[in-house]
Amino acid sequence: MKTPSFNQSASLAKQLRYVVISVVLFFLLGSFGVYLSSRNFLVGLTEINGANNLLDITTQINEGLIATNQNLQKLLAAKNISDAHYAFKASQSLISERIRQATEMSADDSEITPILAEVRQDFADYGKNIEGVFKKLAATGDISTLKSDLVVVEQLELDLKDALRRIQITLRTQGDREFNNVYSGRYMPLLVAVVLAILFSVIVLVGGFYMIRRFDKSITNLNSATDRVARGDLDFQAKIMDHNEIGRVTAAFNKMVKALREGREKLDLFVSRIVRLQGITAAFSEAVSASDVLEVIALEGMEACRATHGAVGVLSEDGAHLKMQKYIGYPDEIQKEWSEIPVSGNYPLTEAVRTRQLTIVESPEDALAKYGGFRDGGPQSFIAIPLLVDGRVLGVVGLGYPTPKKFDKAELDFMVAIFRQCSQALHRVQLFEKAQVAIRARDEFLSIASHELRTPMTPLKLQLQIFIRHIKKGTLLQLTQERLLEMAETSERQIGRLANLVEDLLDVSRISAGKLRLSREPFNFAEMVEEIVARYGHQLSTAGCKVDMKVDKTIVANMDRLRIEQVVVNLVTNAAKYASGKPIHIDLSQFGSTVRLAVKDEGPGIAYQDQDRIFDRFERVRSRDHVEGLGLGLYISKQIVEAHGGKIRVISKEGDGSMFIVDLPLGVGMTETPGAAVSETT
Amino acid sequence: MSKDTKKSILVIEDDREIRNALKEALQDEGFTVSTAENGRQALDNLKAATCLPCVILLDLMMPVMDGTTFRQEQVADPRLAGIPTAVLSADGRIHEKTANLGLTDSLKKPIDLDAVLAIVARYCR
Repeated sequence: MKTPSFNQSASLAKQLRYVVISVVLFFLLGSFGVYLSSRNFLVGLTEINGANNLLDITTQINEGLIATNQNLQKLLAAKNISDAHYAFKASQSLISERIRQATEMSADDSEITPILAEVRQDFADYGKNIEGVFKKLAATGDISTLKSDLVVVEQLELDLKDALRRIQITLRTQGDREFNNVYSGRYMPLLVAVVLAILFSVIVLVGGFYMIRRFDKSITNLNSATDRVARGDLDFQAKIMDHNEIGRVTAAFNKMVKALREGREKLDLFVSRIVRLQGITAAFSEAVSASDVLEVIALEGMEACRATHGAVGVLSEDGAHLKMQKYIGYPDEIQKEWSEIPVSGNYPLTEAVRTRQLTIVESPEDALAKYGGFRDGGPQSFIAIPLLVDGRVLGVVGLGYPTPKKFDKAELDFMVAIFRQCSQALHRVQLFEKAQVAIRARDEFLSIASHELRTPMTPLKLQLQIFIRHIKKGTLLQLTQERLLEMAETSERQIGRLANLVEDLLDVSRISAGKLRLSREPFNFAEMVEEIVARYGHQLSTAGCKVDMKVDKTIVANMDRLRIEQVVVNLVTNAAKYASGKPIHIDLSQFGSTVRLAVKDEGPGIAYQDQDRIFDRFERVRSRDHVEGLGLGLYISKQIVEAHGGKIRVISKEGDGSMFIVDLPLGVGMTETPGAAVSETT
Repeated sequence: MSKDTKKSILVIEDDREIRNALKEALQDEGFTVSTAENGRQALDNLKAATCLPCVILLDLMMPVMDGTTFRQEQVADPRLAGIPTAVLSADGRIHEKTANLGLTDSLKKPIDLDAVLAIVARYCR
């Protein structure tokens, strides 16, 4: 399992880093704000200073004008014209310089600039007029003639002074305004600083509170989760509130709980499987028949493996078919449609039987690819488990699930374990049933044998007792010759019947022990058949049976003559027994190296379902009371025919007679055949 | 009833040899013997007969109608119910099988002639 790493993006640390960065940014922003608000203040002061300087300059200009005028008056009064001109020139250049300075200083002041332009114009006119005065004076030398010119100069001087005063007034107004501005904004930086400080405090407080609250909630959440889990609620998963360290711890905690839960589920599953196994064992102990056991296998197996569909079948005796015994979870008609499945068919069940392996179908696609798909409304995944005992297949179990499914190893092991137990139980009960059948057959046989042996013994004993009684009474000699002969013949017949019965019993015993030995000798088959018909002529005519023979007289067989005679006698006397009063047709032919003997009667026939059974031991089709005999004839005949490598079968329809067909290889060149390997199950 | 009627015996037995042997032995003793091959035949004969036998010797295992069914039919018919009936059987469990048939006697095959005569003597005097 992956452990959450705290180095990846430790979110709490990250948050703290964000806080520090925010504080620094906030500080820089605050400082900038304070700086901005202070800057206005400084600009205001600078402007006031500039206005003051300009005011000084205008004062100097005004003073220069006054000084120039006084100087001029004084020198003119002393008639020192050249000095006066020189002094005037010096003053004029000084004032010009001051005006230039003022113009420079107030270049962007729209209020001052037009007045200064006026000053410059007036001062230029003033200079020109005074130069004119000086020229006239130099020409005339008489001041008195200049009176009108001087009035113009004085007027210009007054205009200049007025303009300068207006500048000064404007500057003073500007200075006052600026001062008022600066003065009114003197608390601004402080205000900004205070507001920022408050804002910062609030942010820090709220943020901190929020962080602590979230942290506290996460911890509480985790804490309550641990409490719940500690109480045993492993299904609980704590909510991940934040993607921070606590969140990671919570996720890790959830993973741990999940792992715990999975562990507990595994344990529960393990325990439930053991309980299931015990349950199955208990159920088996109550199941006495194979069908009980198969029902337990289907029901308990399904339950244990949590399947929704179940099917169980047993392999037929010849191993060619699966006889399906039980379907669970399937539609009802399936039992009828699929009661028998040929093992050669391509189905999961038959594949499991053929391979003796678990056969798994994980999904409908899987089924489509391998078996042409699942039936509609059937499962979406399927597993077929062969029921094996000592490597021998007894049957198969199929389990279906409603969704596609992968089977893990533990599950498969469990299934194998369960169905191994099932196989054993099935095997035991099958053996038990076979034994029971054998015991029943033996009991029945003993009962029949006893009955059959007692029947000929009864007239034998009666005849002897009659004989004794006559001797005792001294009346024996009064009996007629015919009567005495009849008594003796009856007794002899009974001994014959007894001998035949004993012979049949001995044959069965030999066959059971696998000691049916054949001593082959060549003989003419047709002659043998004709001889038997002649031998039993009396019995046949008594039964009212006319024999119609079609025989190939050239057939020479190399077989155990006496045994084959036994077969022919059995078939012919059976026909006489069961179809008395009707003709019997005997047909003998050869094709290839096979002799075919067909004995057909016109009796009541044999129902289809009985046609296999009549060749079993102690079987007679009709009620045992109908016809005397042990019911061993056809069984012995079949064993004899099979020992010769041949086959015997019956073709019959109820009410329409029976035809027994014996096919025997001629056996040319064969000397002695060891006893046929007759499989004995009893 | 005449003396002859009293000495009439019915043998119901499917095996011809047993039937004949019994018939001869009983005839030798002076009884009139009628026979039937199965229960059905016997029942038909009895219902048609004017004279009833003094005893019935009944085999159990027979075709068409077995001894047990015959006995049930016999008991159900009031005219025949009273006829004493002795069972002859080769079955080893004869007593179990005939316990609730209300039979007077049962004889196991191979039967003893003296035992048969003793039973007959009891009912046919």
